[in-house]
Amino acid sequence: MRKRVREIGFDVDAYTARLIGRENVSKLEGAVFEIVKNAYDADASVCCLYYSNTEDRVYILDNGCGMKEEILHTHWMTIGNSSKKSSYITKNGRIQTGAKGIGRFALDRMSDQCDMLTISAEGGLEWIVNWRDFDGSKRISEVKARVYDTDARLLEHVGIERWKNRAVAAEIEKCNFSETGTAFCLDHLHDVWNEKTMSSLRNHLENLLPPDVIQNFHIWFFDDMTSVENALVTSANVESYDYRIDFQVIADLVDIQITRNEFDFRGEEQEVYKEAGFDELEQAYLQGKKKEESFTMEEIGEKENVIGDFGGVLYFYKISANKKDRERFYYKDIAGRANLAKEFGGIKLYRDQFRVRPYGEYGDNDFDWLELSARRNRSPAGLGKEKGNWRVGSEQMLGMVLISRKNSNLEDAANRNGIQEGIGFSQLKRILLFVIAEFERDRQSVGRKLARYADKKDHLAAELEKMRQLAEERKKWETEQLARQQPEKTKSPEVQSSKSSLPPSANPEDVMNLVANMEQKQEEELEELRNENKMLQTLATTGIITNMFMHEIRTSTNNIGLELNAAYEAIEYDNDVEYALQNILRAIRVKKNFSSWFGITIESIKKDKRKRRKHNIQNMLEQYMNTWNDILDKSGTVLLYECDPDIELLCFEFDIENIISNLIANSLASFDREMDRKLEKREINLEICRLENGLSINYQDSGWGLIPKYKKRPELILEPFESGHHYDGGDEDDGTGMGMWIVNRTISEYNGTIDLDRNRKEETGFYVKIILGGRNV
Amino acid sequence: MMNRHSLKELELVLIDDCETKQDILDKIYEKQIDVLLIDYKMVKNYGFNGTTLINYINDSMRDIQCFIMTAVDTEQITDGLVAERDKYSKSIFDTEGADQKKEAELSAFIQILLESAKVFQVRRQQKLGRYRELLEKKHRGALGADEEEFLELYKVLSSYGMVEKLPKNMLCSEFEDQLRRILELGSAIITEHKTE
Repeated sequence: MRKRVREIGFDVDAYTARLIGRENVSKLEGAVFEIVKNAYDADASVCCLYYSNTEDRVYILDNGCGMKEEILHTHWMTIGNSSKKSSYITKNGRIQTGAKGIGRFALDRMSDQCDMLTISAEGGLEWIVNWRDFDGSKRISEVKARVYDTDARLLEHVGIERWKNRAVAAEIEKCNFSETGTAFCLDHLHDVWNEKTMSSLRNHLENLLPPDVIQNFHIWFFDDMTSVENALVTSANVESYDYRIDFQVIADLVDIQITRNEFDFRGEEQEVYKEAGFDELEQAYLQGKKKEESFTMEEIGEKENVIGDFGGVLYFYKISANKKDRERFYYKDIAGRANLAKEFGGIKLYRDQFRVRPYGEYGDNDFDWLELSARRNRSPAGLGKEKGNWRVGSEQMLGMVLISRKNSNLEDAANRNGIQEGIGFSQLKRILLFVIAEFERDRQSVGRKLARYADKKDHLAAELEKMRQLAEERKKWETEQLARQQPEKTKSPEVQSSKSSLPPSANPEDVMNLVANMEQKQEEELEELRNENKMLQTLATTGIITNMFMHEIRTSTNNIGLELNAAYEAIEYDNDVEYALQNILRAIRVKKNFSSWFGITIESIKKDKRKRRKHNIQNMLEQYMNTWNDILDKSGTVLLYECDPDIELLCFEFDIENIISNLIANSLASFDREMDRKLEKREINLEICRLENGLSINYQDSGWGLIPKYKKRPELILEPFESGHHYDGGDEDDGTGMGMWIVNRTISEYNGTIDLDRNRKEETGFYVKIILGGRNV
Repeated sequence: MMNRHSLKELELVLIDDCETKQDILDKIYEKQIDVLLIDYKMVKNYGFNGTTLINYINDSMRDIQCFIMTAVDTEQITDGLVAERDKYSKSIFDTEGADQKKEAELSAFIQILLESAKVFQVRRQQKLGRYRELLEKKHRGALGADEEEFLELYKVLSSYGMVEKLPKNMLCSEFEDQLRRILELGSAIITEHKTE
């Protein structure tokens, strides 16, 4: 039976409250950040932070709207309660960024004693707190701050007339501090404010706001010795860059504008454009025209936009380039460039014009929050490499990503250290990586053309040099010959024969042998490497195929197990030998399927397939295609295969098999994709035709076709780690992303081409036309 | 031996000759299924996978327990539509010649199936009780806000043949009123006729 109802409120120990606050603002940089943010949120146009070396005291003042007594009581003095939670747009249209109600603990982080004057439209209030009162075992409600009504002015409160740095004080007096605002005097500071502290804080303040905000919000930061020029904080900006990438995400669209500013053709424009093969549009881009691209969410592999609208600007900024690359890629002169990432930070995140720490903060773990370095390590190819993708380094990418409080799924983490992990943040990172990949593709497309052009030029130059040297030697030799002929007439035949008329040189036969040997050795080494490479490609393909058929293989294994188990039980418990025999026969039939799998997987690396020889393609593939036919038949897929009888190709058997296996593996993945309806038919059509100089492989299937991400640009599937298997828009993906890359590599080794164009037009099905030819034929 | 006995407690019913998810759902009602074992890989024959089917079935039949059976590792089913505890490898049925560990695993699984079926049956009975309660209210014309629940219960129970199937219009609350009025009218006519 209940008696005497009472209500007891929750309370908190004052020390604990202080600890919570300190946990949230643990670094001095974070504390200063919070204070400046509060000034910005109060619509201030000036925020001034002065460290007086002589007094070891910090003065902070802003000319914002100040705090009314009610705000002071209900918000400033109530921990965890913020006036910015519900209404967050200021009179001047700024979107306030704080909302946790813990920013005031920044003052506790900085000093033991705080004396604040705040002047609002209702008048002035002075608030004094000694943070030491929070120590001991008092309840939070027992800790008091004193508040007085006052008619003091802001500059008077901070005693500006006593400031030692008179030059800056004079500038501050010119600012509008006569009306509303807030001023703090902080005593008993917790940190040593030496040169290092000042320099670190200055760097943070320079990165607090993006450059365009500086027009209506000025920060002064100085000590007794700082000059006027240095006291006014200028937002870090990127003025010189190699590439600029602007992007906007609006509803379902991702718009990207790429500006190239990296190349200088030093007056050879026309020759380079022509010889390197830049068309008119490319030329315009190289001259500064923005390259504009637009993608839907589906096209970049996202189901929907879960964040909302946002945008930003990224810069590619090389720190160094060696002479060889400068000449090869026609880089602009970047001598004397400093590591801007140190000063500017990497890719920084701003919410409503205010920095979200610590993303992009140099030296912090989250500097490389998009994991660009790891990405580069996975794909370390150089810019001009034909095979392999060039990836940008984390210190070469700078910029600003501008999000807003209005964005969804991007909430601040409670400790003010970044954004909460979740679907929104994951999507933000994926979209940024997509934008960066677009830039990388653009830069590499230019790089590859320039590298090819340089190689062509180098080869010609070497040949020319060789010819010039030969001609010179010949000329010299002829002159010598002529000079010798006269006096030699008088000499005896013995002497004549001992001094040969030929120029001193090595035996041509020896030279030829040496060169031939060297070439052979080099060729052998290359051959060895090629073989090793091919072996790895084949093993990768075997892995892909095995993975693809894992379900079927496991089903067969299970079925054999079940049949044998049933046979065992029939004999053991029912003594029914006839029944058991039926089970065993079924198990044997299932076992036969395994030989087909081995035909495609294990046998693909047999030694004789690793020798390059002239093959009749029809004969070579007969057994292999029969095996595939068996396998596909069992999975309900029809294989229509035709091959011209008279194709002779100098090739490795497993190269051709790898191409076919990878294409079939992709088709099967497409057939198994879950869609809103049943696939009408599972059919693969493979036709191999003879060409004058090689062969063509026409391949198509009746599957669901490429996923939207690749529909507009099917050539992307040829890049490594691109996979459309298990398409559900999430992070999970069971494809390796290696299959089509291996196909593409193999094709280029045979000087071939791959055409995926039809995939753009057709709604369903996958279509590819491959031509193999060139030197291997 | 335990498995062979406990297996006898189960009646295994194969659901076949279906094309759509609705066909399968109808068959579940028709065959009075209490618990479902569904193959994961169904795309080839149906265009959807087992996990999608479970999602569909549970939309209509919240109480029925469905288990996904797969030949591959259960972790490879990553669509998040079915809880890990409801996924089983098909190898659970292979006791490898009365291997003790495997026998115990199969036994445990069969117990789970039996228990799930029992829970479903009890819940159905409970629904029947509630249905009768509401039917009583309906007869008294006091169904009010419970009408939606009544119709929902009717749908589930009639699908299972636990209550008689009625024409749709007989289920509305107004139907009782209309019927009463018609009967009153009929009585009045008869009375009037008798008087004449």
